[in-house]
Amino acid sequence: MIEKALKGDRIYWGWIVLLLVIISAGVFSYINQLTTGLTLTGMGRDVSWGVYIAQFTFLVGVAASAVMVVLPYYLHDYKAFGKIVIIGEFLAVAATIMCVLFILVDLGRPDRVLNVLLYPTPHSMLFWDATVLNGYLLLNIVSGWTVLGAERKGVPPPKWVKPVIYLSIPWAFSIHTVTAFLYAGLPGRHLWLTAVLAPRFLASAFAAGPAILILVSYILKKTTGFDAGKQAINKLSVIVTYAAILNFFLLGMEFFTAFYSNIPGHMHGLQYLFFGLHGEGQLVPWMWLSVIVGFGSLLVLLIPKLRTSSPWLIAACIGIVVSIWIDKGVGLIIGGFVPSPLEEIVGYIPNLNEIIITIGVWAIGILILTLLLKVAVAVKAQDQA
Amino acid sequence: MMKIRELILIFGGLALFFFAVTYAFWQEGKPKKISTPVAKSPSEQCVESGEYMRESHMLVLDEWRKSAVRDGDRIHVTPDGREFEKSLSTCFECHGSRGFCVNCHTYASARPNCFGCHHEM
Amino acid sequence: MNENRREFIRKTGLGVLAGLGVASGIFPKSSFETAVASTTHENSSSGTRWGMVIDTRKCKEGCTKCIDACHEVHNVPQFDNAKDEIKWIWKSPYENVFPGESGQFVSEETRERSYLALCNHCDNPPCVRACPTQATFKRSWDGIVAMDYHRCIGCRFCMAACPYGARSFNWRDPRPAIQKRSQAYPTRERGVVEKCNFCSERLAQGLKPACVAECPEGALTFGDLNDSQSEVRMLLEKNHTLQRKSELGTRPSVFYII
Repeated sequence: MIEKALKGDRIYWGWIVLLLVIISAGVFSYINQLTTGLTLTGMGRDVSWGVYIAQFTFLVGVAASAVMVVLPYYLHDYKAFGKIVIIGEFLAVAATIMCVLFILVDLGRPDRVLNVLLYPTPHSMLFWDATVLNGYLLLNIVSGWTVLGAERKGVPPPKWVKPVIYLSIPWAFSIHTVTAFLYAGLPGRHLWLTAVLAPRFLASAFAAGPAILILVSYILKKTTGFDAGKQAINKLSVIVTYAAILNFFLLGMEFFTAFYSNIPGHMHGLQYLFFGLHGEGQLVPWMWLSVIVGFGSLLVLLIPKLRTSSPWLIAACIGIVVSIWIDKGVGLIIGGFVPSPLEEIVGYIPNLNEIIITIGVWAIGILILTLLLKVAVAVKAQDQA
Repeated sequence: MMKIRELILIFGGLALFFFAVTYAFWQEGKPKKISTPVAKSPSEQCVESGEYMRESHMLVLDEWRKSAVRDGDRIHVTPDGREFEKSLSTCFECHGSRGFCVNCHTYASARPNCFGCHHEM
Repeated sequence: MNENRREFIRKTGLGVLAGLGVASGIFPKSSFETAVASTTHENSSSGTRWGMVIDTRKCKEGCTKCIDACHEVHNVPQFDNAKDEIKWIWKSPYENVFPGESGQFVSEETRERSYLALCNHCDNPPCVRACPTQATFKRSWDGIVAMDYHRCIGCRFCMAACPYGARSFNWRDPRPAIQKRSQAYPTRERGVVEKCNFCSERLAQGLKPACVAECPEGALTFGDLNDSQSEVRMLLEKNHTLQRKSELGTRPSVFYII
């Protein structure tokens, strides 16, 4: 089946080569980081996690969001998702691989990563995160590939794959819940110490993930002629809408609890992110961009006439993705470290080497997604022929 | 029918491959002798026999490391009742310095990373 | 069948139910008994528990003898920039070391002094909970929160988990920044986390921690918190003390006399 990824036109190969070039730059920068150390990043003693872990957090959400097509299709037999479900599963595969890579590039001693398995530690949330992420990757590869393989042969998928698919549904929720637990269980990090962190993660994931799925569908339609179907896109856009509402609702909850209780520690993180704290507010423009773009996109999505018009929907989806990427991929992680446990305000700016590695990992994920979708589209096209 | 030229190519190639793979064994002579390191010894005898230590000193050190760091068990007692502090420094009391280790490690192309942090030069 | 009998059965049934309820604890015996939900945990784990009392009144402004001694003994590198900085023990202002304590109308003298900060060797350490490899662990025999540099993968989860900022990461090779190599303790490699170890290597030789030994004012006292006759316990008996962020339930083993 994989051979189908080797047949493509010039645009396809040009795209692959472009990604490979970006990946090489990333690999080069990573070798640089390996030999010199993580001092080549913007991280330091006070902000000790940065853009890598932030991307990881965002992408776990994208991975988990596959459940938004898997669940209706397999559990409720929602036929309109028939063509898009494989895109969702492969998006999850690519996103999960990126997650694992972002953890790897963040480690000080990646050569020792197997220690996590050699000395399993159930009281560490990172141990569980590694477990559920790898399990999720396996579940999605197996179910996606098997179902697609059966389709290629024109036979129904084997029976054993059904339980695997059913298992992937609660598993999807688990990966993002455990990811939230990485942060939500730490004493002394007020921005993270909130019971709605996991629900917030899920809500933002189910907004941003399906939004990306809609965008990928449009790209596929434009480049390959593969059409996921108007009904599927419409349904997904409704999912994005409700999840986005829930996301902003939960964000509002954070503001209420922090500012109505007026407990300084609880307010500090949000103050730093949205208003600036003691004159320090490097992320303030970012956060307001996130809020404005997010609300603007939500407004578009709320109006059925706009939501069902392609250009508006595309714009709104880009807006939702950008808004949530800033919220989770920039604000949440950095904001958790500022102010520091000693209430010092130390900023963080990712540096060039770190950014190139980050883009490199994204390129690896996009390359994997491209190859997988190439196969999927080829199989689906053969179906129709 | 296969032509002679093709046969020559095939078997010639195979022979070349075989030679390349087994090249190391074709080398004339025996392993180079290196001077056997000798302990300049305050204690008469090591924690284990010389033969065992030559082969398995890394296991002893790893075991020492684990029990000292993780269990706080810092004293090694030999079967005949002699006591040693579990530390690389204990080794160097008899065996001089890092040079004792480096000699063989270089010869055997072993690159332990102990000396990154302990007794680095 | 008469009314009385029906009534009797009904009442008996209710009585039995209520009895069962009390027995199973659904209904409390008395709703007016009070209990104390302790936030700061009087209880300590059993066995030896090394701890420290810092008499901040004796600590001299501008003196860094304890810091210098610690950093020299343990080969802690000196980087010029805050980003790469590694520190095991340091001095910070009142509002930074005790951010939860009120700063309102606090005496000028208290506010202007600086206070030692170091790993608290918590009795209930969040860093140990977070570590995915048990590279950081609480020693069962003396309560010290130790680091196994050989096992650390450098994920820095412990740094996010520590509410005291006590942990440092080796962002680059530390050796070029070590002023004088001490053979009493190994150096570290790039890519692992490190912190104060309560001088476990000195304790093994029967010595006191370097900071305690070096303080010319006798401001630092070290001992077993679980031994009611120890010097630290005497000080705790006689003085009102603070633990940093005790409300988090970490049960720090470092106490401050303000």
